[in-house]
Amino acid sequence: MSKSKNTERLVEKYLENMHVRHRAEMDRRIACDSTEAMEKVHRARAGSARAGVGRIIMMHRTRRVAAILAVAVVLAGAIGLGGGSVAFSQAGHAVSSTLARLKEMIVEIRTGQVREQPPLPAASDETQEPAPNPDRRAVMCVARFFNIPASEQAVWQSLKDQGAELIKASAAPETYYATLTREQAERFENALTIGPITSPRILVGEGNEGMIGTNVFALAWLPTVSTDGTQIESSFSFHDGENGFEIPNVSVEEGGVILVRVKGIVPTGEDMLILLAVGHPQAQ
Amino acid sequence: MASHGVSTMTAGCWSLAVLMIEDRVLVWRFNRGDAAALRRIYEKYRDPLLKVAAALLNDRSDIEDALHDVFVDFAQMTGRFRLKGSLKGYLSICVANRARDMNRARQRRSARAKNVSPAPDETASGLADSNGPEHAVISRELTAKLDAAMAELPDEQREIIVLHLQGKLPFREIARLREISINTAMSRHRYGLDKLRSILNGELNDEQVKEYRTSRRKVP
Repeated sequence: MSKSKNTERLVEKYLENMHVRHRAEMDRRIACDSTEAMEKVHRARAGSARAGVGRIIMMHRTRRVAAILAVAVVLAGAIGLGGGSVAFSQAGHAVSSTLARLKEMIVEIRTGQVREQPPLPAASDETQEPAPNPDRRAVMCVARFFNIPASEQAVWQSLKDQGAELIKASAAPETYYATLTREQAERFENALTIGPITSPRILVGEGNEGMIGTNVFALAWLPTVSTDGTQIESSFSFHDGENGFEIPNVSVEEGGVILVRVKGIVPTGEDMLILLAVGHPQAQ
Repeated sequence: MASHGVSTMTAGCWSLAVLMIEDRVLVWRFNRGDAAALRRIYEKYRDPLLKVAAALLNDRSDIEDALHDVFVDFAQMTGRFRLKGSLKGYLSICVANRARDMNRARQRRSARAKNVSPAPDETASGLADSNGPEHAVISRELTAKLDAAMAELPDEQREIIVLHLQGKLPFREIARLREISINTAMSRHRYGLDKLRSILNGELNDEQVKEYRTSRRKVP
């Protein structure tokens, strides 16, 4: 055996033989302090979220499918981030709450019984968002909705050709998603011969939740931003009025998009494609 | 032999995959504010992280403080923690960083450099050797030599050696988390081992290595 290998083996044994017993007192101290630190973060986040509760609904006319109504909702309530020690059951409840609200929204849209909302912004094809709290960093999501007819099914093949991996997010409705780099997104969009039905935007402060509803399904978006502001991670909740599901913790590089394909969800049997571009407002 | 997908996966592959999936679920729950997920992460990685801290710090209270600080800092990332590689790798690097900070602070506070590594007698007292006095003496001597030799290594070399040989982190993972090239990580590992060998002055042989397998060192 070479001297070098011999040294490595000896050091490996030296390190392996190092036996450190954990003490119950240490466990208690770490568990207590780390849980408290986590709770403090959630309390602060919930507190700042409660400060500006309200929502604005913006209706959009559609160009191709008259039935689709786009409603962009900015919810200044961190639904999934209740304060205090959130046990898993509570976290699960928070997810259920989000989905329940999405379901409520889609029912309202379908029945045309959208409730009275705070004053609507001036009519425009883009959502006019309330000024975000300057203490929180603002994040924007541009959602473009497409109906993909049978004649356009080749676009999915173009995704595969680029090596983009579609991940199954739900069986009912059958949904897949993928994260595309800037280059992949550009090539994919070049392959599309149809335009979006609608392109609502949501602007929220970090830790807040935004919602978009159509007459076929609604989605909620909860972004979180890294300390240095460079990384944005998004969790999406979807509901089609019957079933709900989540796509947690996805992120893309700057200029990239999150692609969601919902198969056969449009009443005419077409697929729905959603391209979600997330970033800081100044970058978009 | 050609690969046949799942049918050729070993049990190790499956357990690794399950481990990674479990970590991802735990991180997802942790980001949602689930205290039970945070506790599970702590319990799952406490022992290997303690070993990393012990290899870099040696002082019992410092070891516990390092682990404490790492988990409190980690807890504060709830809601925005993004797992890129392995959770164990990430936490191991955090422990190594904290240990480095503590060592530097200690060195700044006083010139008592010897306090960074345990005194040979202290280390020897922690040995639990069941092979008789003679073997115990050999192990104690080697342990003392290794303690002293490891303490002489530059921080960056000692960290790579500990993370690779004890934390079982591949060089690629260490390089990514340390934001250095894989060649740099491997070089530091090699230089560290070379320096250890020169410090130990060629006193190593297979017999001593074999001896070492039967001894267990306890951090006081």
